[in-house]
Amino acid sequence: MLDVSSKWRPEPDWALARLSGPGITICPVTGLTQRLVSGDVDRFLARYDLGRDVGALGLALGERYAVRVARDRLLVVGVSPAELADGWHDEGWAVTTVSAALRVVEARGEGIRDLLARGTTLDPDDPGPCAAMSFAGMMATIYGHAEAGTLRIHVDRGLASYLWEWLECQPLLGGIGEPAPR
Amino acid sequence: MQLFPCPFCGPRSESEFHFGGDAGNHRPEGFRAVTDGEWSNYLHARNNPRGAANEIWMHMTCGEVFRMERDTVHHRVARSFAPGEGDGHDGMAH
Repeated sequence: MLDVSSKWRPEPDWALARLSGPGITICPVTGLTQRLVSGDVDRFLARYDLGRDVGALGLALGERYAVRVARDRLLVVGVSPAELADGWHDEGWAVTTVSAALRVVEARGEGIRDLLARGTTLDPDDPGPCAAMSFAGMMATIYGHAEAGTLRIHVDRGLASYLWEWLECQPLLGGIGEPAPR
Repeated sequence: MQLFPCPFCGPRSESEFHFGGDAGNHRPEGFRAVTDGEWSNYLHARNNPRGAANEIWMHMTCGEVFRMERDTVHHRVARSFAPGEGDGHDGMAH
């Protein structure tokens, strides 16, 4: 019987995983509360005092913020289920908790523009209002966090291992086109 | 690579989009009243124009479904607009 177990590498240890190269460091971010909110997003932002939503490569500040991922959908970070219950709200929005569905990595340093150039086709000087985009061939949500030069990337949990392997291969991070031994 | 304009996100790579067929190709109404010819035309007949084309596309990252007018010869995009925009002639069944 064909053994394909060697075809896939084990997931990295997300608590310890870290990549670095000249001008850039990448590490996972764990423990974020992530919710999808669909519907009347402007009313939702006002109701929860989240300010303006963050678009592609926009800058999110603090621990509570909202990132626009579609015309009528937000990825809300840092608002707990105790404060905002899952399900339909009569004020005009629906909430789904996706904390376990998305893995987040954070890139820091002056090399993030090079990383974006490798992973996306987005014009960094005209990124647009929506943070959902294709990155390294998969759907991702990408924005700046806390300060210029820091980038957060949310991807489906099942694709996070692929993302890490893709990052390991990048010349920017010292890769030579092949994943590093794990 | 072409850039297509998503009505919400703005210009994005063509690889982020999925073709949704000719604009205005609505599913025939009526159950038994629909003839084989009408159903076949709905399923299989395509405009396939040389020049100006009117199409439905989906932006996969944000889920926006929209109509795009483009030219199949030189690939220039004339305009794109979301459902409800475009003077009510968005080419989509609502």
